[in-house]
Amino acid sequence: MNRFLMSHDVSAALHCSRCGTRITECAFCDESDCREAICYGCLNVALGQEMQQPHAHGG
Amino acid sequence: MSPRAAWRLESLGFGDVYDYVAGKLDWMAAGLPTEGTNAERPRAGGVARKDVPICGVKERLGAVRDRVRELGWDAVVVVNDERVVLGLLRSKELDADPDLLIEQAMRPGPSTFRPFVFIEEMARFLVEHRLESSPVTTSDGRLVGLLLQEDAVHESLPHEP
Amino acid sequence: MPREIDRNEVRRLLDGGAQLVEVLPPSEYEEDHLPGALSLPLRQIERQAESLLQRGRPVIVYCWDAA
Repeated sequence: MNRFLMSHDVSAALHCSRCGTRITECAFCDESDCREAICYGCLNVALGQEMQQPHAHGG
Repeated sequence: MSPRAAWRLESLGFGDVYDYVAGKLDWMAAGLPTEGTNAERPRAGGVARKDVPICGVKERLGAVRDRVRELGWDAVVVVNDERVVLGLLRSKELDADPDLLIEQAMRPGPSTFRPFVFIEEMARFLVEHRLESSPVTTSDGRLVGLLLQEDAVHESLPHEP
Repeated sequence: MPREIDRNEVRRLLDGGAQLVEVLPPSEYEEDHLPGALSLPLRQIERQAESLLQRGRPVIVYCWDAA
């Protein structure tokens, strides 16, 4: 196939700035080119919206 | 932890024991008050602007924009009849084709934050990510208000006693 | 068998005079707890339940979340 007819996303992969997980967009600002991109899990822990797993007080 | 506690209390002879399984997180995520040393610390829910303009998905962008800007705002939250957040329009989205329906122009499913998040954390993230505002919602997705970066930063600064 | 309840039932039971107990460690309780909740850490239940709680009144326990 003629590569000039191919259309694919060549943007650099986005990674969580805390844990390195590959993500498609920043969980905080929803942008795909955020310099401080953070994943959903790390964001929830950072904001205290969940306890870090495994957390100290098992249920 | 609470299931084990509930069972233990029952085994000690306490007859009527209930387990609020969803716990403190659920309570706080619903925007309900708490007591304790953190109770007085400013949080997202308290600082968010409750008077943020709202609109529905089937409205026309042009009419919404005129209404919103007349009120002095540059953002509007899209909600349904239950006040559940469906989308967000900031200034960039508001400047799109006025004939578009809101559902076509909006940012669908924006990131939202719980009322109990401390304001210092929200301010730091809003500044780091250069975000003018973020919607604050309860755990069932209902709008509490729109947290503005300027308000978050102001509230996170030490105040005179 | 303890009954699992949601926050609406918590409020209803509290209106009816139930006792509310947080079973997390004391430091967690001190930072934030539900209004009117008593602190009874899980590891202290054997030692303190009898003196802290009244038999004959419903007891609601909670911790951080369902995790």
